[in-house]
Amino acid sequence: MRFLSLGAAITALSSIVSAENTDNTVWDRVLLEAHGQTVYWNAWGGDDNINDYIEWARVQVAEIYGVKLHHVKLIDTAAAIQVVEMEFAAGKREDGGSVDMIWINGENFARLKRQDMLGQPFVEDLPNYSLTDFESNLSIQQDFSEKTEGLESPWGLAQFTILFDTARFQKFPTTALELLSWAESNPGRFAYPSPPNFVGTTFIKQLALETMEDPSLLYSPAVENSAILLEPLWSYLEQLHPYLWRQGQAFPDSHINLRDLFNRDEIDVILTFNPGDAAALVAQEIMPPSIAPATFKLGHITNTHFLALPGNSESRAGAMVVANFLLSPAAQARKADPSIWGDTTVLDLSKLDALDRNLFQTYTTALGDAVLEPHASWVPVLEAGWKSKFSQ
Amino acid sequence: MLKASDINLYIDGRQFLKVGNITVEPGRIVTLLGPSGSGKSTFLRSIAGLNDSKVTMTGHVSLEKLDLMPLPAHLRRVGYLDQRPTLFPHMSVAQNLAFGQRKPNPEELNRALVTSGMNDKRDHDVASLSGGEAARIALMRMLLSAPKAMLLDEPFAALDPQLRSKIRGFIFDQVRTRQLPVLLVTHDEEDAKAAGGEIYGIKNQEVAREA
Amino acid sequence: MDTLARTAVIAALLIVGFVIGFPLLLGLWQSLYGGLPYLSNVFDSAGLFKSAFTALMSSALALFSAVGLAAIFQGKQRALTWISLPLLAIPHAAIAQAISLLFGPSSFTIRLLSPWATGYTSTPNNWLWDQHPDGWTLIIVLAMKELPFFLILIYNLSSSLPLSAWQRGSTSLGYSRVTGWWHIVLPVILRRLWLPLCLVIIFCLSVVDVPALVGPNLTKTFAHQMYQNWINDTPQGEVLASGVLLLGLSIITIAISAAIFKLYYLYLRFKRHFVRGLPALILPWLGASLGLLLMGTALVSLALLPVQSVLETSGHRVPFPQIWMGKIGLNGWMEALKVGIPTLPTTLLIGALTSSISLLIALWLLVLEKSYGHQRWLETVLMIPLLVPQMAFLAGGAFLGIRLGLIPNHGILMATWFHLLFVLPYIFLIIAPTYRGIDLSFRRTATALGHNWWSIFFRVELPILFRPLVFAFAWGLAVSMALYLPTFFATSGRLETLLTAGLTQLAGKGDNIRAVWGLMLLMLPVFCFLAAYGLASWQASGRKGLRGG
Repeated sequence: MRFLSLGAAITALSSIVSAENTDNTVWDRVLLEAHGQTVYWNAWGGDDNINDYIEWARVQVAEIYGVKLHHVKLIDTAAAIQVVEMEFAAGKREDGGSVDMIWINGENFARLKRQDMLGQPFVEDLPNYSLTDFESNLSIQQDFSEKTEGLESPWGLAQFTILFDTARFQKFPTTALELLSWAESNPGRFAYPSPPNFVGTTFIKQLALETMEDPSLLYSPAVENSAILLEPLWSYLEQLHPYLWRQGQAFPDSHINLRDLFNRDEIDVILTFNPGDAAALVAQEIMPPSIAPATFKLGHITNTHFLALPGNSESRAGAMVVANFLLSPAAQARKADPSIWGDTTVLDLSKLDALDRNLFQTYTTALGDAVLEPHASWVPVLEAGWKSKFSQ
Repeated sequence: MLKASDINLYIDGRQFLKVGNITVEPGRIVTLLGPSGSGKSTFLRSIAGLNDSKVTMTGHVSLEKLDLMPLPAHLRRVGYLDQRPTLFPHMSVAQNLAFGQRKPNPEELNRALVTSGMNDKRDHDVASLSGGEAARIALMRMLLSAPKAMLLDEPFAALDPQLRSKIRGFIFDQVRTRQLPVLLVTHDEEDAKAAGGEIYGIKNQEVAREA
Repeated sequence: MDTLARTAVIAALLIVGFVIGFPLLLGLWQSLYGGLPYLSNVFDSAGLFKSAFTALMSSALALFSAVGLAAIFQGKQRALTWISLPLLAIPHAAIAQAISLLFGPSSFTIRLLSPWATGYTSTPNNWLWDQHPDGWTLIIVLAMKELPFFLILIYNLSSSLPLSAWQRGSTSLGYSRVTGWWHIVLPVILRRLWLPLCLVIIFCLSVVDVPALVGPNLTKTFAHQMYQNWINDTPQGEVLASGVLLLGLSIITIAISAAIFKLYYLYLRFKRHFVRGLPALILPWLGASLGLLLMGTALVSLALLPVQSVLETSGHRVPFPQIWMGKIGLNGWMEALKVGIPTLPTTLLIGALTSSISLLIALWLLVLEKSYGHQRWLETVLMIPLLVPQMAFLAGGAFLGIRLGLIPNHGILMATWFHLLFVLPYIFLIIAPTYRGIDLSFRRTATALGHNWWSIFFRVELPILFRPLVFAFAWGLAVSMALYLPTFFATSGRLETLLTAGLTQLAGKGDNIRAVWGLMLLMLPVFCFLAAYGLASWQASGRKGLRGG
């Protein structure tokens, strides 16, 4: 613990010393202003590992930068979006905001960006941002096909995966059709969380990519009658549901619930957005060592998750310092450690010096072939469609 | 001297008792005889100001020339004894007595305990007292509050005949010693005779002097 | 005293108005104002029907079982009261948790019975009982809490009736003890049970944490769905509109129950033939059996909680039908306590604040009542928050609070304020009869001895009332601890009490962790009551006159 904070302090100091003079004074001013500020970080709180990691970050940030970080645990990120929207509607556009930082991506980001609620671009001011592969990584420049334009800082890489128990099954379906026949032979052993849980939504997105007549339409904004294009998806699901857990009469509320169902021997799969989960869950003895990720022929939906700063925050400097800290090699390495969280880093390892690169040595994540996220506007269409078709 | 004149008592606006004139000299006991439900207890309580807002009274009541009517009940200096000795269950014997004192006065308290023969039970639970003991304490407590008159609402009703005359004698002694005007309400003729003062009766909702 | 009294009255009315009027009326108004345009968007006939159905069925089941138990076990009132009181004190969520652990397809009990009794070799896939889609699990769990409530009410109501005289009359006419009760006592009591029934129905329509645990999943009850919508980003107007709809639904459901009652009383009026003998015993015995089944299952499931809490099930795959990993351990306890204990200061603080303020207000109103007489309308006003579905005004109140900047910034203050709405009526109902029942002679004697109302209140009335006061305080704590939606709305979900933390943090965790949480939820109010009992006994030691209050 102390080594890491020392390392982070050294990194912070060295970034001040080694960078150019002009950048120095800007960041110096930010650090100065941040000292003593309180930052309310609204982040999904449904996973203990992540909460513990954030708790670690809180201690670090207080020690090194004198910033008081509070983790506001959300059940759904949309709640924070609502608060920001309400505050803006009440006239609090420049200050008076109660949300200083949001763990965000996708349609939530698009929504705030469209309404100009994210203030000025800030990522280029973060010294550690240059350590990411922002030049080439499309999923940092675009968030669900919405240009990020410096308004959100990347935090980690996410990829949709299905984990299964190799002790019971030697191989696992790689296409939608194979999944259907697997479910038919193993009735009740597959489950997915109901949208709008983000993992559930992503699962049906993957299926949409496979079942739609023209999947490329998913990458352009959805329009009035886009819903009709999803018909093949719905008929697929209608065939699938009777073979699901509880015969599709009930759906777990969150992908976290799947872990427990798996352990109780009610289902044989776990769906997750964290490709490091397989290693992480095993390392923490939450899952048996025999789990392994499935591979999809079409590829796995991959995205980056970010941190955004609402424009009416009064602790913007503090939030920037926190975001920068979270991008530091020390923080990213700890995040990637499967015994802590296992979330893949957004840093470009080739840009790090040897010492920092070593931190990541043992954290190899087997990433499947990546597929980009569809356009953000499709998410509400998918969610509303699922709701009206299957939960009446 | 306790004086009540032109009294009319109303419940919810309906008149139910009329009292002409009653004067009680110091040291004398005036008895109001009547059956239960005739309103005598209510009349007594009205003098002390102890009825709730449903009961209204017109007329004059004065104690030693001081008009009692405009005074709040707790300032009237009129002692009141209920049918059953109302000792407070959460206080000990001594505490009950002390509750009656206007100012803390340990010597006076001790004297009261000795006089009533309850000194060895001073810290006892009042629930453990016999009927006679409780009556004595209730009376001593009232006397400790230095009343200028006494209103007795059938205070011997709960006692058996033997105790009855004992306690009765005890009270009447105190009355004469302290020269207090006393108004006694009862349905028992024995009590009225023992009181030895004027006797009033209730007929047709009106209080009138009897022989 | 007059001007002082007048100020006291005005202050009391202001406080009551502020506490109740503000969040309730303004909240309702906001809901109506913001929600009416969106009514058609949120109309969900399936969810509405399910809500009405579960509410009516569970209250009917509970009422029927309660009268059955009262009729059959007429002599065992004391024993039944002893069982009912703990069940009343335990939050709904604890019982829901216990039942879901009992009835789950891969639960401890099913594994115990498989495959020899059930024939299952792998987890049954068509098992519905822990979250029955038609709401039956929800109905059963709700009835489990309502049954003791009705039973205690029935006993209270019966105590003022000339039961033995009636009993002698009916026996001499040839009716058995049970049948006599059923024909004579029941109609009298039932009339007085209609209002409590309404309270129960409103509660069933509003409750969210119980359906979250045992309610139908795909077609949720209306309140549950509305709550999900709120946390999953639905436009404000629609959420408010749902509150309005819920209000409408409650009016309809109450009307239905009123109609049923009316029909029953019409039937009684025109009844010519009174059933005798064995056929007359069918209904009472049916009710009593259902009641025994409900209570028994509740107690068994609660008793199993400690067992389940130490069977290590989380973190490892336990193949069906193995019962557990063979390990008994306290990991479940560690995990759940890690989440639960940090919430205790907040939970207890809010509970204590709410209870104390409620007691203060209640006593204040009662003291004023001494001078100004019994004001029925005041009691009715206090009861309003219990008669309106929570969602209908809490959502509106929360929106107002956010707009005014009160929410989510002053968590403890707002949570206490919202809790007051629901705790104050209960506390008033508990304290009022006791206070009013204080022997008038105490007040009279003390006044005659020269004490003013202040001295009487503190030196005579309060000490006599000590025992009922601490019990009322403990009850207020128990009610506050069991409030989910008020806490959630008052703090935008930021402040965690034991209940909110358990529902969000422990969902989907292993059985042993969830069992510990159920235990924590039930132990906390029980502990408060034990403390109250201890405190009252200490105060009353050596004072026989204060016991049995």
